[in-house]
Amino acid sequence: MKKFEKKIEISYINYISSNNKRPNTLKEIFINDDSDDIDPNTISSLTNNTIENNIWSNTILTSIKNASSDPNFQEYSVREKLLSFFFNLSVGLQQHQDFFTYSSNIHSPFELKEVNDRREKIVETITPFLTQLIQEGISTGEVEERMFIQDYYINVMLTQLFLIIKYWAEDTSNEKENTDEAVEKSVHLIMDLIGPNFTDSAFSFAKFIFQK
Amino acid sequence: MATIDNKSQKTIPSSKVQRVSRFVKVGAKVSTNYIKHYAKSVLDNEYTGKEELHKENASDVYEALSELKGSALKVAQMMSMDKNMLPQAYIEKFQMSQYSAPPLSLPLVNKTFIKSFGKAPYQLFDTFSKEAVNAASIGQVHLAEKDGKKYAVKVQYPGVAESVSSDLKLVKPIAVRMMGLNEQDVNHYMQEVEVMLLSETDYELELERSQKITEACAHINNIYFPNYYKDLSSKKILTMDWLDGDHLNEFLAKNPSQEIRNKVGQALWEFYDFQVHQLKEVHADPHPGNFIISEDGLLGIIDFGCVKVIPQDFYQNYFDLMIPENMENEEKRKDVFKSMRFIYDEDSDQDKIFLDQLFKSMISILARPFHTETFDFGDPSYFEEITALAENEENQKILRNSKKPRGIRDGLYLNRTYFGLYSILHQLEAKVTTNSIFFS
Repeated sequence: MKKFEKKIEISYINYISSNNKRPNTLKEIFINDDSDDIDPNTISSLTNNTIENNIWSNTILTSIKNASSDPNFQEYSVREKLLSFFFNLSVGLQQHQDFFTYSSNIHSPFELKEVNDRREKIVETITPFLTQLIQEGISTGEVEERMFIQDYYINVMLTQLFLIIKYWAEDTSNEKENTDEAVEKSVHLIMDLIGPNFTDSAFSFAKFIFQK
Repeated sequence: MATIDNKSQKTIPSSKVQRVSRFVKVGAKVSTNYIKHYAKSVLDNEYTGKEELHKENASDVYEALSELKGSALKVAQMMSMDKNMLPQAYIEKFQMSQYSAPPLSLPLVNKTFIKSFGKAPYQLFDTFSKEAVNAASIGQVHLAEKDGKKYAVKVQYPGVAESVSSDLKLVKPIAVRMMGLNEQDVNHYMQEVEVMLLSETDYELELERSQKITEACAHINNIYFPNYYKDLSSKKILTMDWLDGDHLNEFLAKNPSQEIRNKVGQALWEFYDFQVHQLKEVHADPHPGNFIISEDGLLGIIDFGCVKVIPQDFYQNYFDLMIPENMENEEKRKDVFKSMRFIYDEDSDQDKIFLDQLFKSMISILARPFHTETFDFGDPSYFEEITALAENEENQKILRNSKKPRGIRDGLYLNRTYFGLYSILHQLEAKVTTNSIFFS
């Protein structure tokens, strides 16, 4: 079952890469495949949309996995872990460039629901990883605990993720080098925002003035 | 190998605006230093802080350059090669740039590997140093090990090739201001520099050249080269053997005997002589960071990024005047100076005579080692003579006031090569048998 789903994903990616459009029915992606492991029930339970969402979500999971399979990963600071994840993600996107470029360029208003679905799926996939990073950062002091505000850290990171994906899809530089720099810069910005910075001293000073 | 500062750099300023703003910042800092300097000297007649001022400027400029990496750092290296061009404090600080610049983060190094080989460094090697062990102007060097063998892996900073041209445009006004050069000069040479720098960003080309020169020079005594590994190299990554040994400063700090210093100097001399006069292709980057010296005086040569191919007609002109008879022959000398663009037809007669004398004495001084059987590069009076000639106010004034660039641009890297070579030999205080393929 698992294996067959994987196969569907690969065939789907190949279909979009070579045709630059979505298949009308899922059967089309197997049109040149006469092996007998094709399960009609599974196919009928899937739509283009769910397959695409799964591909996105699996790519993110693979990126997390690849990042953490680096033997140095445990010793990395949160900043480096985040960098490592994004660099792996951009490698993952690059592997199926045609598909991801196609799939991230959904503009039509009729596709808003699809965009939303995908967004939710991606958020759902990545949230545990990011939450864990934030927790870890708080315990190592790299991330500052701020009452009320710290609940939004995750949203900032999610926004960054979508921005990077968008940037990647539109990046025309040689070997998408600009995306690497965008990753570096945005990660540093975010870490500087959620790390201890001048606003904490400002807040603490203001609190002191009002209390005394 | 020199270990480097651990303060990992967070970003390389890469957009043009950012890079410009770095330079503006330095400009501002340098001028504050000057204001401080003049304020102090107005208040205190005894104050003689010129040296201090240069030091402050140098460290501000260095900081900016090391943040920019890439070509700016390369220019810093080039400037530091030429002891006579910069005040002492600039030199000390800039010489650091020959060894170190703040390193890039490991995830980015991993990414570069995955892009090139589809594998991360820890999958290709048994160990891979987390931090760079050495900075190589447009890249950084990591130490890797596989099956008990040590490798030096050079990884290029991303976006370097793209930023070369825009960097040079930024460096130019600084070079003009800071070093009092005239702008035409700089334009004329910057093109040559740009071509050379761009070729340096191509590690595949470097690999090819390294293998070629290494093979051709294999017969020279007392030098050794690393092997290069094509399957572990790409456009952005270059893998070679790790050479054990010391850099020049570390080597000298151990007080090696005169005999050993002579041995190193001799090897260096023969290596360069063979390249210039036989191969006509020369390792044009003789800064101390590119040499590794073993304890018993063997010279290891790394980094063939900067190779100058010497055009035949330029070679002819350049070295013709090394023969004393040609130098004394006025007609011949005139011809050569003209074709080398030292002297122009439009120059006034007075200037012509002056420039003729100036270049004549310059060339004879620089050619002097070739004219004796052995030459003692430890002799300070020789270098004092060079410095005196270069610092002579009158000479500088006339060269600076001249609206034209003097000297053909092919000469830029060859001059730099000889300057670098002499300067290293001087630091080694080596006595060298200076026979040359050119005369035989």
